[in-house]
Amino acid sequence: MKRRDFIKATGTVTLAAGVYLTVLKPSPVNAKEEKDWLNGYDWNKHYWGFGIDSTKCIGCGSCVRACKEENDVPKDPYHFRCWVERYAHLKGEEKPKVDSPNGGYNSFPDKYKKEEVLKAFFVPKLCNQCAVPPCVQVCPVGATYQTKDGVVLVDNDYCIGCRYCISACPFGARYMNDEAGCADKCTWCYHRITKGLEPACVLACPVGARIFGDLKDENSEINKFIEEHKIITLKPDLGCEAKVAYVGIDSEVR
Amino acid sequence: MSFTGRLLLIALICVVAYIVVKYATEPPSFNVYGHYRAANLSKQLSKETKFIGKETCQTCHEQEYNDLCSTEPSSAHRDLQCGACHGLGVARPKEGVILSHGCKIPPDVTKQCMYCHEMLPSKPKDMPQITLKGENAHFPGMTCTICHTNTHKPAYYK
Repeated sequence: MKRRDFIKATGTVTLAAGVYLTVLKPSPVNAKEEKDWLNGYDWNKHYWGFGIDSTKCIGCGSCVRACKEENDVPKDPYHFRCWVERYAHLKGEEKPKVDSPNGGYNSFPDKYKKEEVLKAFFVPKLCNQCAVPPCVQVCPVGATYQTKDGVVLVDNDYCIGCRYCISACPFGARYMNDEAGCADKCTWCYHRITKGLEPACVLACPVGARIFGDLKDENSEINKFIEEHKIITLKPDLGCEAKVAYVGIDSEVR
Repeated sequence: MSFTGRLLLIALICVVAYIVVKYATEPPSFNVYGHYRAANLSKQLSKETKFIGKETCQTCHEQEYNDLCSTEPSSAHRDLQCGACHGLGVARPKEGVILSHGCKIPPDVTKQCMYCHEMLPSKPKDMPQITLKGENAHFPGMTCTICHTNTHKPAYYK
């Protein structure tokens, strides 16, 4: 390569890079813009947390019914943002029996009448809002994202319905909403919590098995819950840092 | 044109094509906060809230609210929200007045009670539980409210 060519090439590349950076550089976020998108809500002041006390859960299904109404989830027995599972250790069996008839929507039938139950408990499930969410990582179009206050949301209009996120979720928290033509999941009722309300399932729970609050607020319910109990999160080995804090569940619960 | 020149031309075309495609296809609010449309946040936040707390119900249903939250004698249902039994009310106040909502008296009271009070081995032991079938059946075939008349302030029938 001659010196002239080299200078020409360098010049062209510099020019192209200059055009790219000046014309296409993402505009820096200014205060006005942030306020416009967030309707006046300041997401830097909060970091939401969720706790579940499995020892209190009675499996009545109030949370499931409230969630389906609040979030327009299809009322068939296959789509849930929030559901309840029953784990039962029967005498003479090595592994627990797990069932969740209609997600617990109509409570649970007593189907272990004839067997001797050694230990049984309910486990309410919902999206764990992972700190390192695999569903966000796999989305090819950027239709699912994590907010600064720690919630993973789905952009319904931008989702192309490829279902990568559904297969990527280790907790089965996502489902395909065929009515809306997009993937959907629990958002901890983001439209409620940003207005200072509790999520629908927390409000509906008759026994206080669900605890919700702001981890950045020292006196919040969720901080008290985490301080007072020995908690575990689901599948810590995966490294996706699930955030729902459980009390009173066995290691079989996944 | 020299070999290098042609290479550079191809590279330039690629860059220009990338810029054009990016401009033509990328939504305006993309990449404001991250790899997503910031405009969607606005939509998420403005979604309508439906489930209302019992404090809202109190404004019209004063007597029921007082029964539910009574402390002497203590109501076992004092921690419940109205919606837990009456369904989700979508109350949209117009000028401070709620004209209609979706709540209803449970059509099958016994079924509603049994959502929580059905005897199951997986329930906490301190939860009052009954069964309507088998040997230890608790007045099978009867409606709960015949004895437990005030479901807002339930007490054991004596």
